[in-house]
Amino acid sequence: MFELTRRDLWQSAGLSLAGINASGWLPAIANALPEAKSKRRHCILLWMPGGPSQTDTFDMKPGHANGGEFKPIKTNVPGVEFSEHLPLLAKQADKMAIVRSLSTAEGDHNRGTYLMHTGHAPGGPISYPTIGSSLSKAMSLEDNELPDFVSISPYTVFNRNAFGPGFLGPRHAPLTVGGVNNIRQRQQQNNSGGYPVLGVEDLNNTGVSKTRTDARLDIWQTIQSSFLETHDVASPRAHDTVYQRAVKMMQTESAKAFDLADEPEKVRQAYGANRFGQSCLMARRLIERGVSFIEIALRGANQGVLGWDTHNNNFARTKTLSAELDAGWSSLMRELDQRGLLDSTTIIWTGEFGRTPKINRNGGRDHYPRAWTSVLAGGGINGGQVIGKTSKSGETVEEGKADVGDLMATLCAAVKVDPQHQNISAVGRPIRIAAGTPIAEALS
Amino acid sequence: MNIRRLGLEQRFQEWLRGQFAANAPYNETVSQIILAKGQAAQTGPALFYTALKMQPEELAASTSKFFCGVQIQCAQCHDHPFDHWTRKDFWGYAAFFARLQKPLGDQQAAFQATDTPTGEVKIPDTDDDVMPQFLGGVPSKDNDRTRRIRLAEWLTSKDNPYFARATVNRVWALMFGRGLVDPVDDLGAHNPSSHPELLDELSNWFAESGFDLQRLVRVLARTKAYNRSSRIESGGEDAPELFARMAIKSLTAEQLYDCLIEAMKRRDSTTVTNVHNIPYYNDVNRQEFLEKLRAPTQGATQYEGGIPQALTLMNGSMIRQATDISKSDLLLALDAPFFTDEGRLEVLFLSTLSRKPTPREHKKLTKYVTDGGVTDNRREALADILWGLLNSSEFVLNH
Repeated sequence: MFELTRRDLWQSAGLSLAGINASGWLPAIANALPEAKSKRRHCILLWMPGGPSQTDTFDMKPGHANGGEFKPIKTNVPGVEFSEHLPLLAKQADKMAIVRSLSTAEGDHNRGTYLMHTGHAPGGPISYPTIGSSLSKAMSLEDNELPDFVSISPYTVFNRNAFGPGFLGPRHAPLTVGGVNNIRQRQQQNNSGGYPVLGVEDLNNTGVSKTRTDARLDIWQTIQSSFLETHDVASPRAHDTVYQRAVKMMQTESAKAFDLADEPEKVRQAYGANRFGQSCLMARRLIERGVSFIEIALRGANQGVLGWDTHNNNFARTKTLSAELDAGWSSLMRELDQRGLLDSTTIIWTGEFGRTPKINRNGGRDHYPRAWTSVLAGGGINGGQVIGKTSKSGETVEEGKADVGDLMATLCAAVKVDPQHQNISAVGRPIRIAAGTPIAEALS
Repeated sequence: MNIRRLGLEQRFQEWLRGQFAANAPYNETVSQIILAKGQAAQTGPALFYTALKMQPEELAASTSKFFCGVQIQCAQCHDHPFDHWTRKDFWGYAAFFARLQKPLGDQQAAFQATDTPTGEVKIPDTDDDVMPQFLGGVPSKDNDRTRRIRLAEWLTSKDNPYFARATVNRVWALMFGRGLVDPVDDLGAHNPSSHPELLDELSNWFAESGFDLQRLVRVLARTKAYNRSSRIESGGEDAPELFARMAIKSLTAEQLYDCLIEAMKRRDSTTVTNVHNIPYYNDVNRQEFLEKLRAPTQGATQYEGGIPQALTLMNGSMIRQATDISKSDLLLALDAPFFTDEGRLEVLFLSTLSRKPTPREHKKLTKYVTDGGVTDNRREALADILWGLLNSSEFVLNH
């Protein structure tokens, strides 16, 4: 199923652990490359901070006391039903695989956020990379003008470390668009023209004209070349390359991807005049320009800090959140499909855990990692099916129990990255991108 | 708990800075960390316990790594594949931290490092308590002194085979970009030193000196090895473990921040950040800068930055301030009438790169200043050059 594994490399090049030799690797890599990189692939993480209720979205329990207020509706796949508040997504269920049998071990926001972003529980000696960092590192193509990993309005409050590159280092950190977890931006939060402001931090120096920026870069180049002539080694070269890429991004047409004002009003409305909807629209523009991995968060219409954490008033809140989710996500899939990009773009929808099937006395649902739902869609995914099954009450997984490692491994496989692919951690230990087993039936 | 948000990290750094500035013997500093008591918010060293949530296994992993330079934490779950550490070694060492009062529920802010008379650790999935034992297998019998006191004594003693070596190696790596044993946290027979006799001699001397860090730094700074140039005289990259040429090191985010402040030559310490006077934890600009630029601590000889970091350095608020003609004291000072344009250019180079411009730079950039750049404004032209200097590889790398 995978183009290139570490073991293949060792076997094909006749290498042993003791004697890794760079030249020995080359033939195997050279043979594998054309296939591995024949097609640019993309991944979008739709992150649902707070933990969405599976019972009120993709794993309805009609007729049971736990079922709650919402009615199920039919989708375009016979036998698969969604919540009535996801009518647009219901028309695209054939592109989605609903994994109803997720069962994880962390029921705390901080720990769950880390687990579902890195595939590992927090707290060990290793600082694991967020999935966007490890996947974009594996998926990126050299020729891209834009960064490989863009994170739009991430909600990092629960656990900052869950969103970072970990031991992979800042080169694999996301470029953050319209982040609100920074002291200055928290103060600047406001809307313009009914749409939230989404822009790249420090993309330009507003006080300096284009002519002057060009002159500055020319001066910079002069000083650079003096130094590089006498210090032509790895770290100055790496610094120079990163700068060249950043400058290219400042000047390139590609940076227009971040300017949503280019889009017709009708399109912007279809995605929803809220942060999540506009983030989905930006994701489509970024994918058109080759970005590998994009993370988007849905935190709620009022930027409520609690997101999907509906301990009280679950139904009214989930209804509002569902409306945003439905418009943004369905528009994203539709437009990617129209452009022929959905086949090469895998989408994953998940939060840090699910919510209790049992409704509490405040009309809310609490944290529930034992049996919950994530959704995979688009490229590499065998859509139009439900995977796994929970009990009538929704409280236990009855079939196809899957852990976070399995979900991550499935995602890797869908974007054609070997889940066994290893990176070397700071303690010198090789770490696989995903520790589980891909869910075979989810893959196309 | 968000240690950074509560300013506790800064409190710990302030405490460490004080210890280093006073040149407290390093074994005493480490001893104070191991024996820390009370609340992290009030005392610096107790943060070590707060940050590691009083967990014996995390405390064991960190203290052995930081102070002994060994990776025993891999043996937490399995016997070490390359080195000789076993799970019993790991959990025996962790047992020294077993008798700490555990935090209650979510009252994390009230974390107190307090010893209790009872508490044991077990190897996971086994039933037997593991008794404390030092690295290397010598058991430590319980007596009327706390386990932490016994650990601190052993850890910081001259007879500990790891402590002086790990410290010397770490300081060497700080100055040379790479340890005599590389990586610095992985000392052991499986990972020999590039210069074993040198490491032995330095370690013995350091222990005999009373763990005097400042003397150690002075000694290393006076070596021929440290005084070598990073210029490449002949082609090709040589073996870095031979230290034939000074390695080119990336500045840490903290160093880079201080360099930028220094390059601004700020004098007015009441309204702006001043590296020497204003407590770091009050400095929002610095925190924001560090958040964006912070890199993992390993691999000083690799450049770790990416596009977001480059954008911040080219366009972010720090560089905007540094090149603001009305705010940069450096740029304002260059208005003085006794300077020629050549002199102004030299001052810019000397303040940022500690060298004069090369003939090629001199020719091109003096003209740029005299022409008033592209805006017919000499001050702005100088700001443009300063921008180029502050973004150059030569400025952001320690070479």
